[in-house]
Amino acid sequence: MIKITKSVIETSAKNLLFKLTDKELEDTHNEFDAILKQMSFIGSIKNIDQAEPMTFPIADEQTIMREDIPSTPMDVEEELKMVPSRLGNQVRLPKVLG
Amino acid sequence: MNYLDLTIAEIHKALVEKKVTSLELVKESIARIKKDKNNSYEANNFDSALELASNITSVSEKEILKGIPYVAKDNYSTKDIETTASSNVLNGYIPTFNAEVINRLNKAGAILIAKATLDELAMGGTGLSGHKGATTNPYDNKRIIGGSSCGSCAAVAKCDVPFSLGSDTGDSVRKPAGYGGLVGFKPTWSRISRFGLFPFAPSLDTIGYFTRSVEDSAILTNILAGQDDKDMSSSYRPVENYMTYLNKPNTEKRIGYFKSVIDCIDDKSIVDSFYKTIDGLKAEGYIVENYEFPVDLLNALYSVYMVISCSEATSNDANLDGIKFGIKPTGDAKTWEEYMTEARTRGFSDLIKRRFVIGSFSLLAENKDELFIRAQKARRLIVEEMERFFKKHDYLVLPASKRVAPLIKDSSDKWNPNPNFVDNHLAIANLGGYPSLTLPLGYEKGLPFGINLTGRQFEEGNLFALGEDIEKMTGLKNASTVTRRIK
Amino acid sequence: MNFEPVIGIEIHVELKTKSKLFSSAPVGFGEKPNSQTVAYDLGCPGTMPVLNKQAVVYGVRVAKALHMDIEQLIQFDRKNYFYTDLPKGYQITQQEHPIGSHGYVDLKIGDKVKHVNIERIHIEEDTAKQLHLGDMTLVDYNRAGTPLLEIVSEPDMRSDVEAMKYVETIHQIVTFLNVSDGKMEEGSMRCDVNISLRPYGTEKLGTKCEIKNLNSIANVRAALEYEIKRQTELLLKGESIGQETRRYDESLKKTSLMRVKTNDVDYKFFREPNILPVRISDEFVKDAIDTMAKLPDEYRSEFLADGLNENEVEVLLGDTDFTHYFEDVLALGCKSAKVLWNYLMGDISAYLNKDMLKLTDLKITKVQLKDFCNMQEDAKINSKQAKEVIALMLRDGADPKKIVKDLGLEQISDESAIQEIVDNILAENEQSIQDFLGGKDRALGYVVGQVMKASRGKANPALAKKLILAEIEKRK
Repeated sequence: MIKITKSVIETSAKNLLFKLTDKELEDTHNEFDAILKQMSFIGSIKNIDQAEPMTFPIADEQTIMREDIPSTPMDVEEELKMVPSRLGNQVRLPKVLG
Repeated sequence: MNYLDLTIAEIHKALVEKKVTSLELVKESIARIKKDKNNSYEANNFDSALELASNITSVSEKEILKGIPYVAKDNYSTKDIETTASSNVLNGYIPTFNAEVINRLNKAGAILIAKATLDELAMGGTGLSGHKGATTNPYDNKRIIGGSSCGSCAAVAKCDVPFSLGSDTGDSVRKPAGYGGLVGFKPTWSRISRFGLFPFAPSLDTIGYFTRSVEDSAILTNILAGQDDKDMSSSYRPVENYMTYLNKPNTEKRIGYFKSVIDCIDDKSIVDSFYKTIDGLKAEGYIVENYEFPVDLLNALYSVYMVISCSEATSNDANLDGIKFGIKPTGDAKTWEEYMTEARTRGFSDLIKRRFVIGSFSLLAENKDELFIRAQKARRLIVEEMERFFKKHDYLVLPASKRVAPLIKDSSDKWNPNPNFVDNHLAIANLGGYPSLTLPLGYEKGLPFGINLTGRQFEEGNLFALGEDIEKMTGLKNASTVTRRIK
Repeated sequence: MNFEPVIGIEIHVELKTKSKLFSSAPVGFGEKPNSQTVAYDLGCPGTMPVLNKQAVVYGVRVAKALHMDIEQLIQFDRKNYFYTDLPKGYQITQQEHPIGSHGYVDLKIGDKVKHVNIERIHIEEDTAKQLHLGDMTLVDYNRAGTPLLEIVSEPDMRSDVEAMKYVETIHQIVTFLNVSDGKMEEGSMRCDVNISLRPYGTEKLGTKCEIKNLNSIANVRAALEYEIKRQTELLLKGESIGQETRRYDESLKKTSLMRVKTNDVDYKFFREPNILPVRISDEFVKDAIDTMAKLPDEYRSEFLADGLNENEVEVLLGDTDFTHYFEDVLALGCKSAKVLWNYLMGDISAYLNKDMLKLTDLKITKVQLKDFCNMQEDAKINSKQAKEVIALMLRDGADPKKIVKDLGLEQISDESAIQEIVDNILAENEQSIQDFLGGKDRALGYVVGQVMKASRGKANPALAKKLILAEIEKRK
């Protein structure tokens, strides 16, 4: 496991597309010690590594899927009403490179 | 006495008997909401509500919710009504569809009056982190009412409405219900459609609701439960009539509790009330025993819950980028990264950002096995232990919390450096998908505290039966700041 | 030093379901921007994925066609990353449990067979479409959520030709199965090619480059041909190959750098929690397979048995519409596959190409075409007459039997009738008989021509020739 440095936190934030202020960075860094300590409680559970990971709380499986019948799409105007920036019928962004 | 101070069942009777009209109820509700001093509300639906109510001329016996006002936590999509999840990143977002539960309530004739505040994006337990600031406790506004379903809880606690929708991912309905002296219920995972509920952690999220009687909870469950084509995780299992479990002797009578959890509670009145209730249940023929739940599992509850929920949340909220809806960046951005970064930096509070960093960290390739996968493994072990518990017992009963609602100044959503499993046992019902019910147990210096019951998957009916028995014992049916029913 | 190319190919196939993979919005092409979406496709909070059954059916069919193990417990994972064409901030895909695994195709190249293993195929959702202009980018969410099937080969190909044949084979399979339009130029089939070089006889893989945005099967080969040359030159100079993503420039006929490949992005995969595992039964799988369209290999065996040669079969299989049309006419009772092929790929193709028409635009019916071909096979008309008839059929949509009758074109195949004409012509052309007997073969053709002329073109030329030769034989 990687060590929690402020740089690791900053990189995480960058990858999540938000900026942390210096104070936020500091607070997160301080919190992480407590976090890692408790995460180690998970590690000390008896037989933890032999267990199967659980995603769903119920064991039920699905057998029914959706029939391939198209529905009426959203009205373009209704859709674009929500959008912060548009040009014609398209959603507008600053230039995307690559 | 105002009819709005009564339970759903009582209000319904009055509507049928034409002792009150829906319009009168709605008007009263609106008046109270306008006077709200606890910062409980986001957008309102007053005009629509008044119109709907004025069109109701009569209510028949079987239209049990018709004409009855309610509020919904602001993480439920409501068509044409701004829905923000109490986060600035969604300011101005107006959904084009209703959540399925909103549809079912509306179809049953219930009337949505307003949206209620929550901890931002439902990721908190204090009611302090919403973008409008703290939601306070109607019993004492220097205290929290808990979270994340803070506004919904306050609304029902002070009788602005007889019921409200919340959501429960770790305890977000059942903990505040304890602080607010209410019945707070969450069903089995997949029992009620989550379509339209903003996801926090889908493998843990459930619809939840606040009422002032166990019977009211059963009424709502009848209407809301059942498969929905729009939610592929919703269960096809047939829906029972939960009312049939009430007003008759309960047949399932084996209760278990964790003494190890109760021993961590310092508050004597809570402990005494709890054991008194246990004695009362024994006198009614219940078999009540301690169960030794492994301490290493109890100690891990908090982290397991936090790792899984933060990881899923980080992914769920990746759609909040200022491009398609919600917060509008100021327009200085030169690249798409800058554009999204601006939206997300301004839109999320620092608490949320910290949670996302934790979630993202847990999923990094180099950490995933040790953190995320391990947490999922621990979940498996916790649930396997609960399966063993449920072979011996029909219910897990514990105090809903170790104390009455704390003061605001003593509360925070920071990662708890010393979590005690007494604070986190409610998460067991989310990890295992079990139905779980909190109801009022007693008062300490005028502040409510609650008792929590958890049952096997899809055994909501049994839970209501036990809840009803406890409700009769405590006499705390329809407890609120208005009725102040204190024995 | 000789270098061996090691090539692996990832193909994304857009499935032609009517609605999207996880939402019920319609799937279309070329529609007005943002007119084919529902709230899910924009990533609106609270929307949830609901799996399209038909996409799973198509996945099963392709898996079967590629000889794969079919995974009957359908599960999905989230691939998390931020990009402007990804509305939810994650893509739902099948990372851990692809619907098909351990498959292969056998490519026929010349008279050799090249076996290419296919590692996996999985179902996932497509991204939105972006239009880059000047200082802004516009996003159209119509495509977002369209079902894709990703087919990942093992790095088994060793030449540009093998790679092209592989892509062609996959294209043929998905179009014959009718699960996709498979049009690289429209983006309904996208190829990413990975290539590295290593000295012949060695095991260790070289640094691989990825080539993207190839918009035709021919360009797959051209791009690789160039890339092999480029990498060879670098290696011979002792230089190393950079790990790069490159594009192929059709006009310059070379690959160029798009971007340097940085460390692998961490997609933080985890199981999609909103979709419970979906179990498809043995019956479901069997039904999907029983109802699937015929594959190219099946057609190959059938058409060869019907009398076409290998080249004719491949030409026909190059177009699914033609293949199905051909099959239908044969099934109606056409007696000669060869005759049918000749007219379909000859006169009829020429007619359609002239005005960019499709088979569905033909004025004639399949029954009429069948009758026409059979007339030939039964020697009711000869080839010269046939040309006249087919032209009229195509132009007017007229019935061949009627045309022949109206124009009095029935070929004379009655021996005694032709014998009479032959006798007359031979009587008038003593010199030609002598010429032929003296070794001038052309004389025979002249006499046949005279018989044809005398019969106003209606004599069966083969029969006439036979009778003439018999007569000449008598006079030897």
